Amino acid sequence: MNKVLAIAQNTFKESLRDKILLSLVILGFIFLASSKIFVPISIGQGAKIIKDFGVSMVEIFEVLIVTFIGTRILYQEIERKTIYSIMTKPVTDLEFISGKFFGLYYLIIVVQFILFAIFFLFTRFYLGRVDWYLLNVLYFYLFEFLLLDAVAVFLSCFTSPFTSGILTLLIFFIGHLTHYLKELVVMMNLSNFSWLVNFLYFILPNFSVFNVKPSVVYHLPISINSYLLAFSYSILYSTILILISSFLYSKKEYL
Amino acid sequence: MGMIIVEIKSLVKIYKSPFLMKKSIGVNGLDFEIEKGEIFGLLGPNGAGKTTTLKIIGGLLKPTSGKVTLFGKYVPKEARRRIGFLPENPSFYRHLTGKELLQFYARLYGKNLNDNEIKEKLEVVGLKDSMGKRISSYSKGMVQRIGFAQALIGDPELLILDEPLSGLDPIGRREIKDLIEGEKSKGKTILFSSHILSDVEAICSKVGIILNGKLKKVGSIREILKSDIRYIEIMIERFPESGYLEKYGEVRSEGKVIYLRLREETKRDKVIKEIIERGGKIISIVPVRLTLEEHFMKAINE
Repeated sequence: MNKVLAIAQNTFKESLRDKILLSLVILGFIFLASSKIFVPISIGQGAKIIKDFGVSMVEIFEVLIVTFIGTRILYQEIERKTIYSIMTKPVTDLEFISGKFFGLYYLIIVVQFILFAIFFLFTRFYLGRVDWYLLNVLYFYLFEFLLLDAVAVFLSCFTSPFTSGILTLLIFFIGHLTHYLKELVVMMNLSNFSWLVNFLYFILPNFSVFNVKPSVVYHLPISINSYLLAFSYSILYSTILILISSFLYSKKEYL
Repeated sequence: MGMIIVEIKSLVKIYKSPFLMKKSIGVNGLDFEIEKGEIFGLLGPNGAGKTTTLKIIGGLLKPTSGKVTLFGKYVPKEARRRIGFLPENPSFYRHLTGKELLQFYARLYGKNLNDNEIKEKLEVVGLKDSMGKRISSYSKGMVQRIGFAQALIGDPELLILDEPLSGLDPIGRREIKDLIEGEKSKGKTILFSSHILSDVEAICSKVGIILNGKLKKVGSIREILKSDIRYIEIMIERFPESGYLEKYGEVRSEGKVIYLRLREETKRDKVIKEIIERGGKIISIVPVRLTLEEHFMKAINE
């Protein structure tokens, strides 16, 4: 475990120095600050719009961080040749992949807390109080991005950063939609497409299990099953992806 | 015969490009062994297959065919705990200090080193005073030395050093050579590659000349240098008929002394006998052998 932790801490430290991260956090700050401009155009819904906009912005910037930074963490080790000194030490492929995965997750958690802190600061400033019920979204995001982290690491094992970035984004958006697509196929009786939608629904991660934004913004109750499902689905799916990733990585050669 | 640390049999590595359907040969049927305590130098020009061989032994590449056995039983990946690897033109995490870098690598062995232990490790490579500086501020020689320190961090029995002296100035080269010799004196087995003959000749106990992925010659430096005599130089005094000797080889006079470069070793006894019979005095008979460089060039030309 010490080896995984060492690689994770090093990955985190290295990612912190990435200029893209700083740019995204600053951009996130600007976007969260600008949520106030939507209030005048939404009669009577100002508070809800600010909350909805805010939690969505945090999610979008987290996705961008995983896409831009997460998909490069394995590639950089090879490109900079730092991998040679790691893979000739007594480190297994699973330890290395897990270290990179947890290092990125460490970064995701820190950024998430920073963005939420900024968001709460602005809601306090704009709305006069902090809506602590929004913390529920934080819980679901923690598991949503654990899974997206695993997807990015998995794709990085066999594709270039550009390809894995595009695929990570696609999987994230399709993963949020498959649930609706499945319902749409049934409603519109599109049996010709049902195999494709079923295939996507079962193979791709279903990110809709983490979507509690409407319930949180409108203060609707969230069932305990939703919490448990988000937790278990994310852990199980991520574990499988990391195991497959380490298997794929074990086939890799360092030219 | 000592314990065999590295055993390579019929090693072949073919690089395949899946899209272009192209193949290129990295190494092609290598066979050699390294005994415990030896410094084995893999000598060859750029692109000869040195790095490929070292990466296979280090477990970074998989052989296409053939066998690599380390410490008599392990394949490279299993033997990682017992080897130290310094890659060619090493690159390390630039955001870490020398101290943090060694702490990081030590943790990969499951060890947590305290400040004193780190200082000791850095003192060996002469970087104790730079332990707090970031790697990004290190010179090439310092990077090479910290690379040496990370290779030694697990106290390995086998050190694999890929071009450890390339790109260094004479002082840097001397320092690394001293480090290699220091590790040899501790009983470590060292395999290193180089295209610089003088380095190999100065450090190695055994050498393998590799070219186009094939081992052209392998043996101890002494064996290789002993194997071919270029000519025998006979130094003669009091011999008036220098023209008589010209049929045996090149003759050169310096005052009363005549030098004969005898090309055919088989005629040595006959020539000596004739010189003595004609009243000449033989001062010395020196077999002049091929240098390692000449052996290397000969292997290339073959």
